[in-house]
Amino acid sequence: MSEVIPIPYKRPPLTEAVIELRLSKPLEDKELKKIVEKLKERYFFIHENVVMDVATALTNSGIRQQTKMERGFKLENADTQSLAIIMPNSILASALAPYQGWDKLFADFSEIFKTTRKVSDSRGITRIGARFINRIDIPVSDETSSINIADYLNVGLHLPQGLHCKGYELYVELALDEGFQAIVRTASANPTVAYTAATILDMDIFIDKELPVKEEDILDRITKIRHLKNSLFEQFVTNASRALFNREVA
Amino acid sequence: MFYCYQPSEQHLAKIPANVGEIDHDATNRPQNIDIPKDITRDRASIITLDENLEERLFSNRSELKVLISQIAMHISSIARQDLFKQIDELLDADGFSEGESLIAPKSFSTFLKFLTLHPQMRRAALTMTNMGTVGGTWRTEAGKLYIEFLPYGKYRTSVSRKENDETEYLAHEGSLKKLHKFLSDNNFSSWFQRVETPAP
Repeated sequence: MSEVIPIPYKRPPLTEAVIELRLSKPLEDKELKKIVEKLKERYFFIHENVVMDVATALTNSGIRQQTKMERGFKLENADTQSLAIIMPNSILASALAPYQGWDKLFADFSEIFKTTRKVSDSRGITRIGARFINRIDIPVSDETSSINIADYLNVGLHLPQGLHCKGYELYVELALDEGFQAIVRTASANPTVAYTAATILDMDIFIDKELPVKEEDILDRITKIRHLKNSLFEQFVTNASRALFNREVA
Repeated sequence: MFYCYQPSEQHLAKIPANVGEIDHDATNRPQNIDIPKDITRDRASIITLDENLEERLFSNRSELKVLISQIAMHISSIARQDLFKQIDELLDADGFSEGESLIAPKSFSTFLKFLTLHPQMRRAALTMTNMGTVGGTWRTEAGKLYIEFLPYGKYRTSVSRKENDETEYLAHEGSLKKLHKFLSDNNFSSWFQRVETPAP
């Protein structure tokens, strides 16, 4: 896949970006606390003993919510735009809109990762991933307006004629270069903005085989994900979408 | 409503010939990054044990700021920072006592939808009711407009308008779409429009 240089949009549709690392062996309680103690100066508020319902899984019978309760820590900055979540089996950094760019997210994650390594050097990893959730807000004149998905996303959905489509969800697994994979999901969503129809482009790019051990190699894989993400995004969106991302903000 | 006309050839997903090699058991599919639900859509799913007032206020502020982030691409950074400031002021521990309602996110969502309908809106004086709903007040020389934003895109409004030394009172309620019409029909929209200062 060729490398695509990111285009700075005036209204990037990204609502959330996450970098996550899964650990081969759960962190012990005292290790979790030690990591949080070292990170706390960078964040404004720490939620202790946070119990989270984390998993959504696809099954043969369709989408099913799988409850996987884990107890850990959530650290937030004052504006709730940057979060760190330290769970026994995973560490992640998250950024909400307006997206301040990869460099900030990557720096946040690197700090979490290096701190975790200092506290628990022996942990191996089972997955390196990053997830980018975009919401494309498409202006409509009223609720009866129809949106042609193919005008905004390069995906195909071929339905029998005459059917009334109220919503949709597509899930695609992609094999990318160098052992990376992507789960791309696009779906209709409840509009957050008045007089729009919303469609989600959710990209989870990861590698879970032949994982590196050295710190710099792990961070290098994460940087690779950035380029894959930019490339995938540009391939999935159309010029009509790009025009929406480039409208002036009032 | 969504539809997809017959996509052109390039839009059709190509299914590989070696389809038999794909694992059709969905339970064996690779798992997504599990973003805890509270940082995507459903903040209520988070359970925090032994929260004190400051913690509950922070959670509420955080919940509302996440909602603002969902429309961040449609408002200016100045408007966003101003909303953050107003939320911090409304939900400040110093002026809050145990038992008071926090701001209902669904009411705040209605306010944000209204904001996206009126991007040129000037700053409202935000207040909250003891039911946890948010209200916005705009004052002009012609009168005062108050809108209470209710959950699920509903609203309640009261207007006092001065005309020939008399004050007329109007009240209205309904869905946001009706509000838009009510404000336009009565020429109230201009009451909360931002006035652009001409360049010197």
